[in-house]
Amino acid sequence: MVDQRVYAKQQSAPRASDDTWAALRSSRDGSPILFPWYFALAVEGKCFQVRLGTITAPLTGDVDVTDTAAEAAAEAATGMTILPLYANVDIELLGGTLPQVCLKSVNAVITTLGTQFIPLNLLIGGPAAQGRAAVAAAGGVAVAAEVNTTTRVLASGHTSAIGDAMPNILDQLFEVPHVLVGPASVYLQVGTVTTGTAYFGFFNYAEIATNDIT
Amino acid sequence: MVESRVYAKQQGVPRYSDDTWVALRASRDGSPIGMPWQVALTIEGKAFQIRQGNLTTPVTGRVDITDTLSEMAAEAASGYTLIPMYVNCEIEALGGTLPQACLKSVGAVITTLGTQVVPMNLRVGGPAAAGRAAAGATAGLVVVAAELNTTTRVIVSGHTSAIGDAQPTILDHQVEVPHILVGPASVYFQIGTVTTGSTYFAFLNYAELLTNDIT
Repeated sequence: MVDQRVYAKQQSAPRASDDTWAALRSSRDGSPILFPWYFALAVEGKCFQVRLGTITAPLTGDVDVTDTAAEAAAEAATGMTILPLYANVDIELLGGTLPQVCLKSVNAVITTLGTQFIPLNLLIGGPAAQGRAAVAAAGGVAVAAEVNTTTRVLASGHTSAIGDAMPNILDQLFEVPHVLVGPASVYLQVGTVTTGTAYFGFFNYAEIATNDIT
Repeated sequence: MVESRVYAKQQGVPRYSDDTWVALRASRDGSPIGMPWQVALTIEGKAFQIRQGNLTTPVTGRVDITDTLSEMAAEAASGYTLIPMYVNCEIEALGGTLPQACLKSVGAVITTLGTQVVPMNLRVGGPAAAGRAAAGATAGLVVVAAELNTTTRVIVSGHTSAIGDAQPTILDHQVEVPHILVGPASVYFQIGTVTTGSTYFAFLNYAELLTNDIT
């Protein structure tokens, strides 16, 4: 039997180098200080962002969400696994009615890239992603057909009009992440009835070698 | 086989000094009680706030968001790393229509400060920040690097349609997937409204660490 003791250190905490043993740091009441795993992944340079639209230049979404047509996607190549972590979409200008946004995953790589996008590492100066990503307005990224047996839904949202209280149609941290063992992909769809809606969006995900996570 | 024991202590909890070994505190069901790392950073004096507007004096934002113009920004000098942690923005009076607010980061320092401010340490009496910050300038007078899909990262973005909405707090975002802004870099806040600038209050909290201590 081992009684667990931790090291009370609230001020002037030392920062050890990697590959050294360090005392398990705690508050002065003995509560261990917990470093969130998502933070650790970001610090390690394993988190990436795919984004749609830049300042004054939103993208125009699809006219209704259509099966294999996505606005953006990121894929896990064979040997790699990605975990979607957070997604955000906000509507700049309603095109028609009933805008719908969804983020889904499927165990297949992107079918047609549209325009390739180089994922941004959330660690400035961090390494490049192994997997490909794509962004193309109006459903210009082709993904595998949606089937109840292979396509998983991460988030889905509707709003009725830009006059809604929440034109931020998607703003979600994934507490229950999908573990996308490659070949696989995550993709974003945006659609509106009659006319495409202008929007900004982005999603963040982690990319890890499959052997390191499953 | 080693069995690990933790110390159940829910009431009358002792507080020790730094640099002492103490029992790992737990609930009465044996669950360790954890202190979030962000809280520990704040206690240590490594978390800062910059803000826009104070009581009865909100700031007037841009007439639509424009590329390099922001309302406030904080930068990581070379050798330092910033981690944005929380942002809040509420509309006081709608100027035109469709207010939009966003928080972004880029691997470059602030181009033109506008009005320099001293970041407030979230621990009262804590040390000063090493990096510069700017706020207080109305209508996007803090100039930052041009936004590009290849260098500018988005932390959060939000729209709302009118002050009469159920959610006039346009941003209220705890950053759970952080940007690690290895200096030189900066984080900046933008807000804009179509036709006429909206008045608003806003603040941003972030941590500042030596780069060698975190990456």
